[in-house]
Amino acid sequence: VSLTSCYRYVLELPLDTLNALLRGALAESDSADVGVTGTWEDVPVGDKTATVSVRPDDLDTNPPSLVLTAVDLGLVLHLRMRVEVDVNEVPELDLIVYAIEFDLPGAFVKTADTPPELVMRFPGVTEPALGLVVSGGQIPLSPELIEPRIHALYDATPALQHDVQNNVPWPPGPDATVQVTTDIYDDEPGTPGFRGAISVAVADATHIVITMPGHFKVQGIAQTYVNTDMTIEVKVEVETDTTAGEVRAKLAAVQSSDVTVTFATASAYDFVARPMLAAAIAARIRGLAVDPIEIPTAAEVQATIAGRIVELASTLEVPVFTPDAPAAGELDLTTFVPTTLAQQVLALQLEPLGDATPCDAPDVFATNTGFSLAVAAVEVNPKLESITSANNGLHEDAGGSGYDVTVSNLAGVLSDPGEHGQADGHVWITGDAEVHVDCWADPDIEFWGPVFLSPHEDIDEQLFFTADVGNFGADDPCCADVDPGQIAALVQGQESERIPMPKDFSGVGELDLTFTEADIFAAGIVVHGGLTVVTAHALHASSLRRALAFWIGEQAGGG
Amino acid sequence: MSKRAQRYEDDRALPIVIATERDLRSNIRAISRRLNDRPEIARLVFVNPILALEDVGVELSQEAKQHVIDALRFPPRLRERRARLERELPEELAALGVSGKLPLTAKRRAELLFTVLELEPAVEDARDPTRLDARRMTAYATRHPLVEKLARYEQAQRGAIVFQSRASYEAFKRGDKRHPWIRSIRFNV
Repeated sequence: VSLTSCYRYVLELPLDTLNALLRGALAESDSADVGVTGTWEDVPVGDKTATVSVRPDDLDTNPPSLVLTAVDLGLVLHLRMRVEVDVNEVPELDLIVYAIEFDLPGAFVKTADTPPELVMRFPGVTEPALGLVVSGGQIPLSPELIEPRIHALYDATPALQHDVQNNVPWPPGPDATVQVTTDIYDDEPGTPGFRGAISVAVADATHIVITMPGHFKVQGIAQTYVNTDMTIEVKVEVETDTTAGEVRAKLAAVQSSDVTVTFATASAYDFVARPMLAAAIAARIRGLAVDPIEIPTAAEVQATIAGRIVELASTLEVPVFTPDAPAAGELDLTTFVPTTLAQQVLALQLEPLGDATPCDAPDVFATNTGFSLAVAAVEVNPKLESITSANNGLHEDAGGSGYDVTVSNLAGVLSDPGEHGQADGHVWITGDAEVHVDCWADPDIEFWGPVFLSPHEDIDEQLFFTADVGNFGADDPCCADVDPGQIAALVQGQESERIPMPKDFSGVGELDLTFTEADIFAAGIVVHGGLTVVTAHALHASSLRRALAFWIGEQAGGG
Repeated sequence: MSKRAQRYEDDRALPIVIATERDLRSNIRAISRRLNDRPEIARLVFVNPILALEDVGVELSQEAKQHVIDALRFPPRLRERRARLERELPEELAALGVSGKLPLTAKRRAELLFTVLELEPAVEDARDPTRLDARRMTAYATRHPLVEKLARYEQAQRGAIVFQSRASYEAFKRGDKRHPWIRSIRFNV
C-alpha cells in the first residue's frame, strides 16, 4: 500500500460520512432523483388488490445504515421504510401502515455518463437476500369499517328490533311477573317518523362502541312500571387476526358490564330495570354474529412488499460523488477511480500520476468522521516552495535581531514521523544563512530543522498551509535566545500556495467542509476535515443544482 | 610538510592573546581560521562566544571580553532600536495611565495586558494571570499594537545573543545537548 498509490490525490470517506451522505440522499430523495420511494396500483395481495406505497421512514429516528463488504466496492444498505397498503376491495378500510426493514446488497458503481458519477446500485437483489422484517399492520378502526355490518345485522335480526318477554320475574312487586317490551330503532335518517338510528364510534385501537336508540316498557297487571325511550351503548372488542386475514367484532364476548343503559324518563324502578335490560341486551348481542372484515394476511403483505422492494432496488441509485467536468485550470475530478478499503473507507483516487509509480491500494488514512484528502508529494512540493523560495536572498535585520542575514539554499523535504528525531511528520528545512556581523568575519550558518504545517482555508475556500516552526529551537530553552538571524522567523507564518479542495461532491445536499489538521508524510500530506451535509430542500432546489460537485482549481493569486 | 604549513601548525599551538579591541581586529582572520579548523567548537559560538574563543586558544583580557559581549549581543542597529523604543514607549504607556520604568516587571506586564488592555490570558498564562514573563509578550504581539511594540523592546533588551553558562556550554561541547537548528558555522576569512 502507499499513501496515494499512483494518483495525485486520494479522497477518503469513512463509513460515518458515507452514512451522512446516504441520509442526505434519502432526505432529498425527491429533488435528488433518488428512486427510493414508489407507489404501485392494483398490486395483487393474496386474493385482493391494493395500492402499495413505500417511502423511507423517519430518518432521524430510524436512520439507514451502510456497511462495506469484503468485496471491493461491495456494500449492503440497511433501510427502514414505511409501507402503506390501501386494499381496493375494502374501500371503507383506511390505509394499513407497516414498518419494514431490509438489506439491499449492492455496489459502488462509476457510471458511464459524461461526466461520470459514483452511485450505489443494487442490481440482482432477490427476495431472500432482503431479510425483510415486517412489523406494524395495525388495522385502523373506523365507524365506516364496522357500522355497515351492524346495520346489516340489525336488518337481518328481527328479535333485535322488537322483543316482547312475558312472565318476567319482577322482584319489586306487587306484580310477581311482568311483560317486558324492548324496541331498538335503526331508521333511515330523514325518513318520515324517524325515531333514531344505530351508530358506531371508535373507543380505542381495539374497541368500538355501538349506540342503539330505542324504547323500553315494563308492564304488570297492577300498573306500568317503566315506559321510556332509551339509549343503549355496547362496548365491543375488535380483534385483528393477520394470520387469518380477518378483523372481527367479538360480539360473543359482550357482557352486561359492557352495556350502558340510559333512560330518557327516570322512574323509581330504574334500579331494577337498568341491569335487567343490560343483561338481556348483552345476552342478545352474544347470540349474534357479524361478518368478519377480510384483510390481507401478514404473509400476503410480506410477499407483496418483498416484490415491490426487489422491483424498487432494480432501479434505485443513490448518488455518492457527482463531479462536474473541470473548467480550465481545475483539477479533473471526473478521473476518479473508486475503491473500498478495509471495509471502512471509500477511497476516490483522483488524477493518475502518469509516471512509473506502481498502482496499489492506497493507505487507510481516514479518521472515523469527516473526510481526509491525501495529496501526493509530487503535488505538494511545488506548493510548499513558496514557503522556502521567498526567503532565499537578502533579509535585512531578519527577525529583528539587529543583524543582516542572507539566506540561501533554503529547501524543505516532506518527512515521515520518526525521521530526524521528530515524532510527527514534518517538513525538514535545510539552508544556509550568512550573518553579517560588523566587527567580525561573517559566519555562514548551515541550519536545519523541522517545520510543521497547519491547514487553513482562504476566502475562496482553497486550502493553504502555514508554516509552524514551533520546534525550530524552542524545544531547548537554553538555546531559545541563540537567535542571531532568527532563521525560524523567516519560515514561521509563511503560506504555501493554494491547493484546490473538494467543496461539494455529494449531489444531494451542500457539504460544509472544514480543515482541521494535517498529517505530513514523505509521500505527501493528508488533510483531515469535518463534513456536514446540509439538506434543506429549498437550498437543494436552488443553488445546489448548479454544482453537483466541483473543486476550486484556482491557484493562489489567480483571482 | 612545507615550511609555511609547519609555521601555521606551530602558530596554532600558541595562544592568541587579545588585550584590546585593536588586538581583536588585527587577529580576526587568525581566530576565524582556528574556529573553522574546529567546526565542533565553531558551532558553539552562538552558545557562548567567549568560551568558544578560549577553546580555540584565544586569551581575552577582561576589556576584550566585554567588547565581544557588547558588540555581539547588541549590534548597532539593535541598540538604535532599543533607544528609540525607550523614548516612545513611556509616552504611549502614560496615555493608558500606566507609568513606570522600562523594562516592565512581570506584575506590571500582566496588569497592562490583562487589566488595562483587557486581553484574554492564553492557557499558559491563565494559571497565574498576575504575572507575565517577558518572553511571553510575543504570544500577544498581534493582539494590540502597544503589546507588539513592547515585545520588540523586550527582544531588543535581551540582545541578539544570550551567553549561556559554562555548564551549559560544556554540555553542548560534550554532545549532551545539541543545538536544534544550527548544523554548522563557518567564518568567511
